[in-house]
Amino acid sequence: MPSVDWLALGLARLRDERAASAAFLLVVFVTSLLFALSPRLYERAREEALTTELADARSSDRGIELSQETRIAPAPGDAPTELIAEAGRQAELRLPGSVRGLIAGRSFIVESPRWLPVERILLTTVILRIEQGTTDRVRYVVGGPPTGQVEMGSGAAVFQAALSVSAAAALGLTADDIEAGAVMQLERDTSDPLAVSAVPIAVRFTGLFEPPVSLVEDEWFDDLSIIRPRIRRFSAEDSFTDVVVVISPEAYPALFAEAADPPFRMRFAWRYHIDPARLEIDRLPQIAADVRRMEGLYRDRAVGPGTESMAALQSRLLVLIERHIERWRSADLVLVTAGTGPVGLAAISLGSFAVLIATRRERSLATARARGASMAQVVGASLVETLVLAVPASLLAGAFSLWLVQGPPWEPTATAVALSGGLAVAMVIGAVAVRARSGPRGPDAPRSGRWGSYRRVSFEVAIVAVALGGTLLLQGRGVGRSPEQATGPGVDILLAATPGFCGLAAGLVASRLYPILAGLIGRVTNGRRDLVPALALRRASREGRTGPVLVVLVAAAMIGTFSAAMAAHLERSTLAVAWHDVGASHRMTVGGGALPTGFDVSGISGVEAVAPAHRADAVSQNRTRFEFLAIDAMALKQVIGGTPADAAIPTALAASTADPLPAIISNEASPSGGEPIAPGDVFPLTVAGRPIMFVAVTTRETFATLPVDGPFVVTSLAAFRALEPDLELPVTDLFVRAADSATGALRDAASTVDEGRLEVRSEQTNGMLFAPIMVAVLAGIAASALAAGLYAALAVAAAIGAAGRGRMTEAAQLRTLGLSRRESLGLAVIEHLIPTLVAFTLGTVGGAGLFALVQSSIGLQQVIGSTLEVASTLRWEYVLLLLAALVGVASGGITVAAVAERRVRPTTEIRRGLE
Amino acid sequence: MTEALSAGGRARIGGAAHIECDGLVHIYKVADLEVVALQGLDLLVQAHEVIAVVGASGSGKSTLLDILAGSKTPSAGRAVVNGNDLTRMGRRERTRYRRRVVGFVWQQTQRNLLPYLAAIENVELPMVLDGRSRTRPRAMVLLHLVGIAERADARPDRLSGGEQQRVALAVALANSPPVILADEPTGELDSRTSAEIFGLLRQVNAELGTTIMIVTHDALVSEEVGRTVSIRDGRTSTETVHRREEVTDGGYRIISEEFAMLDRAGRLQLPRSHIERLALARRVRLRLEEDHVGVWPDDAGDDGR
Repeated sequence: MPSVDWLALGLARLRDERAASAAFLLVVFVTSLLFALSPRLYERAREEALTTELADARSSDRGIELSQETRIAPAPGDAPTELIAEAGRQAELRLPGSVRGLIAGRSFIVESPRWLPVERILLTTVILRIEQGTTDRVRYVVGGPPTGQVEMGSGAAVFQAALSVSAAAALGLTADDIEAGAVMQLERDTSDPLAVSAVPIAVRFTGLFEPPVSLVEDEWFDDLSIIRPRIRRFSAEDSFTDVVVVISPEAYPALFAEAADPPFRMRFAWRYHIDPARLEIDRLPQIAADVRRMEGLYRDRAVGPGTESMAALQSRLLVLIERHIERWRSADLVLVTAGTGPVGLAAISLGSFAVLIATRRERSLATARARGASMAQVVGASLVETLVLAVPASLLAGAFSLWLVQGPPWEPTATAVALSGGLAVAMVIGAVAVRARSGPRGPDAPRSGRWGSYRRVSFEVAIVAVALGGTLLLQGRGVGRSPEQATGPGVDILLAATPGFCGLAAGLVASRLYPILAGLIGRVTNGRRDLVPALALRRASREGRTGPVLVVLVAAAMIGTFSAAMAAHLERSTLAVAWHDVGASHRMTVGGGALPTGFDVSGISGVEAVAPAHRADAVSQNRTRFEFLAIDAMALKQVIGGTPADAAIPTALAASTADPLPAIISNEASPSGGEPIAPGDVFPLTVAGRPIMFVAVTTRETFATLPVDGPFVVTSLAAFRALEPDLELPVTDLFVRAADSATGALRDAASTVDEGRLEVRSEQTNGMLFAPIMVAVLAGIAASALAAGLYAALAVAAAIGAAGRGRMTEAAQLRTLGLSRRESLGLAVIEHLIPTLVAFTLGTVGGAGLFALVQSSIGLQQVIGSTLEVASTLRWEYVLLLLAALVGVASGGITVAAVAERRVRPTTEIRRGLE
Repeated sequence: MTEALSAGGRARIGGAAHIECDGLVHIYKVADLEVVALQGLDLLVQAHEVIAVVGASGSGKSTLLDILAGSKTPSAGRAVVNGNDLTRMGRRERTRYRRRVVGFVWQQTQRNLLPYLAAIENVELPMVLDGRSRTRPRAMVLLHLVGIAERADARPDRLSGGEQQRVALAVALANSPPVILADEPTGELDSRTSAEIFGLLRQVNAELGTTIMIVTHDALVSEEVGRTVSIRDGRTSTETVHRREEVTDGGYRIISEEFAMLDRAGRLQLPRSHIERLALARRVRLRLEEDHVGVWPDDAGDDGR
């Protein structure tokens, strides 16, 4: 047999400590796996969210449109619009590379200047348009698509055109007219600057088409001009109807040459369709920067031949990306804040295991030191042994996480694996070094005083100070860093760790005060004959064995409560925001307009109450814009009474006549620019061009459907109408109280109105709750709480294991005095039950209190996407779950202790204890 | 007690002694309480000597052993072992001292041996710690010496108490230390096994010349050692010198002669039995006679009666 060497010594020790080694290996594996998996899952969720958000956005919002009013000559040959397409291709080449990579499709449109029908149709113009792919997207009900043939008739060029059913109606044409090939004479619209050189033309209608069933395909780019005439408002009351008719691309040369002398400018628009699936999360900041640069680039650069007008870029891609970044930055804040607590508990758990391992090695360390082992030899041997366990466990966990969630990111995974493995090794080595340093006699080193060593007291004081200071800073500053300061995720990690520090501080304070509490309770139980509680409490009050367990339980309870409060707040806020945004169970509006006079849904089955309202803009004396809402107060009370949108509307707003008009005004609103308006103050606002006097009845922070962060005024619709009878105040909003079963019928009713919309509160709530970001955040919070509970259980088990020898000796001594096994179990129960209750009480109060202090600073509202403030709350189901978890952890500890004590052989343990 | 004069003429305890303790004091704290374990202990052990240190619980004998083993540092006084001044050693010297100068045998067998190593591997461990190579042959020699070579591959839990102590002794001898310290080596053994272990210690002393100090409660030890030092209240109180005298029937008898210890300050600890017998309290009368010093209770007359 070869001589023994260090590796053989280490492996022999690991074999001897199989259970502890296996437990340590498992803890390292689980910790590394959690740390490695979390960022991968988060990135995956974020990527899917980004794709979903962009896919759900309108194609014109996520796409890019470059438009320009210019002249582009037709290309010779069979493809007269080739030069137009080429201009678009050249423009695309000038886009940043990262943006080019997102483009999945291209199209262009060409629009002529506006023409007026010679046989006047009031306030109606005609625009000729060339649009790619029209024929494939529409269904002709009469005739067919136009050709490029241009006739000459009555001295004017006659272009073939097709139009939609709505367009035909706007022009007063019937299907029979179209079938007969009606010709419409057109002359230039002098109000259009592009029509300067236009000569009269005519159009012969060759076809009438209906829109497809669905108008949301990307090809439309949200431009339904050829389906529905465009309304062009030039005053509050007046508007033009621009009817767009479709001509063939082959007609372009004729339009360019024959419709104007010299050729007029036309409106060109090149559209680049963005594929959401091509966006990658890790390249998002770069893409945002490139899009920003692109917008600046195209402000002063012409996209096509000639520089008659500047190219305009239209895209909300940057807005979508920045909104995504901002919301997910908020999600980062929330998840990092939720996650640092469990990370701290993981560290404590690893530390507890490290202490357990070092405790089990204590005798061997003492023997080795007495035989002349130096500190370096002892620590070196332990390092090799620990690496043998930790490295494979960490690597395996990393590989497993890569297999579970494939693809990037790689760096966070590698960092997490290295950190968790390294932390585990460092803790074990630290614990071993501390044990070994106490000398060959090991644990005989005397304790240093009633309060512990100065180092320990200083450490505890420092933790408490950091917790208090962090809370104040977090409350004042928030947990995010400004984009200029942020080099990583934009989260101040130290501040985000405040809940964890607070949990630890509360636990340390509790462990100091617990002996006093146990002593007080013990005095009460002393008067009874039952020995068990008296003994358990006396032990707890005089010895520090409960300390580590109590610290972990309090920290876990506080972190768990904080997480529960975050989750409850998000859910409650989502509900509140949905009620605020919709204002009732259902709300009908018209895009930018009013509902038709007499529009009524009260007869629909399931509709319980209806309240009309008029929404407009108002302007104050100091030119401040106010959101103005005139309501039918009585009707609205019936609609929102008993719902979260119930706003306690003052009875003054139910008045049918009043002068000045009673109003609810927003807090801090100052129409004159001076002091904010107070109840009783009279103030003027201009509404619909009329100066109106209002008297403030009350001030409010918010009012349903009105923006949270801007000034608003709410008044009585009836009183307003009575005061200004000649002012038309159409119904713009219809608040409806209805059952969910009425939603379908209400939606049908809304669709009968041009651009009519129905908002459903329950759908909005679900949309927000099940949005990818909310799912990711809530899942992350739940996972953090679960991890906190798991690590708390591990830490408690390890702490009990480390105290095992002393406990077993004591149990043996008591058993020799006649304590039964049942009484021994009773000791364990009381010893763990009271700390559990203390931890639950302290943790719940502390966690809820901390959340109430800092809730506005951790980015929860930004996750929801609203600045509406909602009071913090704690759901009792979560509190019960927390109590159950703590009891579970304590029960585990009791079970471990009870099993160990059942295996006690009194004489053996006593002899060991006498050493 | 051997004295030597230093250059300044002041008497220095020790001289050429192998183990020299001069006014050794050790104070430690337990909670808020200071415990004075040693109160100025003087002790000399010559090279190759086998002595026993006896005393009641709390007398300071384990503390003395810890100091001589290099595990604790005295609060005051001087302790020199084989020329190594224990009060002036740094951490590295102390580690080397524990490897090469002293070997230790504890009472509890679990403290002597690592449970996950075989007997021979336990013996090799101190040599490996000292950086030696080819440790196996020497380990086998030592196991032969202590009479347990055939159990070289057995782990401690497979060995009896006596066998474990034999292995422990081999471990203590691994790096050929000049001094062996044993703290109650037979405390957990029966009398027959105890006798075997003491015999082994004598054999080691005879064959290897190792100086051996045994701390013990065992009354039998006086037959096994040349000198027994009694410690009381942190100081050496008496020494009993043992010698064997052959008797006419071929056997032998142990002649023990007890001496009270006089420290450097001239202080003397009287045996408790004498104190109680004469009701000596607080102060006594001394009279110098021609060849002795008389001690009388405070209430005695001029003639000592």
